[in-house]
Amino acid sequence: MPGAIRYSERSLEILIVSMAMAGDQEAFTELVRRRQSWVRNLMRRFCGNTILADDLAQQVFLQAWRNIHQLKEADRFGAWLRKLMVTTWFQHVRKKDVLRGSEEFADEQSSTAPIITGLVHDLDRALAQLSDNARTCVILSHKEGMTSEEVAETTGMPLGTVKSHIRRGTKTLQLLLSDYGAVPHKERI
Amino acid sequence: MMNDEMKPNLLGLFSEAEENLDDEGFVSRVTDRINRDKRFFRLIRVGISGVVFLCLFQLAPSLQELSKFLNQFLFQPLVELHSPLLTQILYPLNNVIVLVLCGLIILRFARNKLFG
Repeated sequence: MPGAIRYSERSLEILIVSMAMAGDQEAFTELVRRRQSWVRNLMRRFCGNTILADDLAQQVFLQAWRNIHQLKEADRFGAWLRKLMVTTWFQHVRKKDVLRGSEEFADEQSSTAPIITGLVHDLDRALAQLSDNARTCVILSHKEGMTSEEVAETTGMPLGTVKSHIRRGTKTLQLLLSDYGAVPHKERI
Repeated sequence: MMNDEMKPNLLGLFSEAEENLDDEGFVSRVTDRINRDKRFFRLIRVGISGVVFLCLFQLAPSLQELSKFLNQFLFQPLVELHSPLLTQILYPLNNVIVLVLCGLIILRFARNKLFG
């Protein structure tokens, strides 16, 4: 029964989160093990650079470790971690804006990221066409399946702005990725 | 205008682009970073405690005044009701109590301000 497995998996994670909240570092390491793929994937979509994404993902987990005692309910760990990801990403964007034009920023952009081809590359290239705020809203809406209200709450942006970012960002992505709509999934592989 | 059937399913594309990034190397890098962070904060705590106690040492004359004040108005009337032996015990204890209380208040303030 997959449902039962999912339920017990969830209960197990709540137990691990509770242990981590009490300061158990081993339990926190287990959480990192379980959540790393999700966090790293999301950070990759946000910034489009695998090396930077991994560094930001490490920062997210470090912040999580420092503040996990502030988490009120253990079953809200996923949503709390997602909010930390968005906060870490926006902090990086603000820092990047300050550094824009300086040598440090130029070095970061020219970092030797592995060459990725296919859908991942096309998707990241299309996402790069959006502004940082629009990209964040679109990813949270389409990848994470969040409603506009949830996106607004997580990002701290006004609801109207979020809706507009999602609407325009979706149109841009659909246009840029139109090749993926014309061909059925099986033929693409 | 693009036909609805021709539009790509973004949710599907995002899940297709999802990679399995489970890697023990990443977990150990995070653990190393947490351990470094813990060592750094421990060092800061020790440093702050040292500074606080140095400050208390410098403030000792003023604290003596404070303890005298407390003695005069709080402890002395109580002690006078009882025996001189109690005075001998309570008077030096009074200085220690003031020092410990001030130390605890400053440490708690510093901890709240610096470590949330």
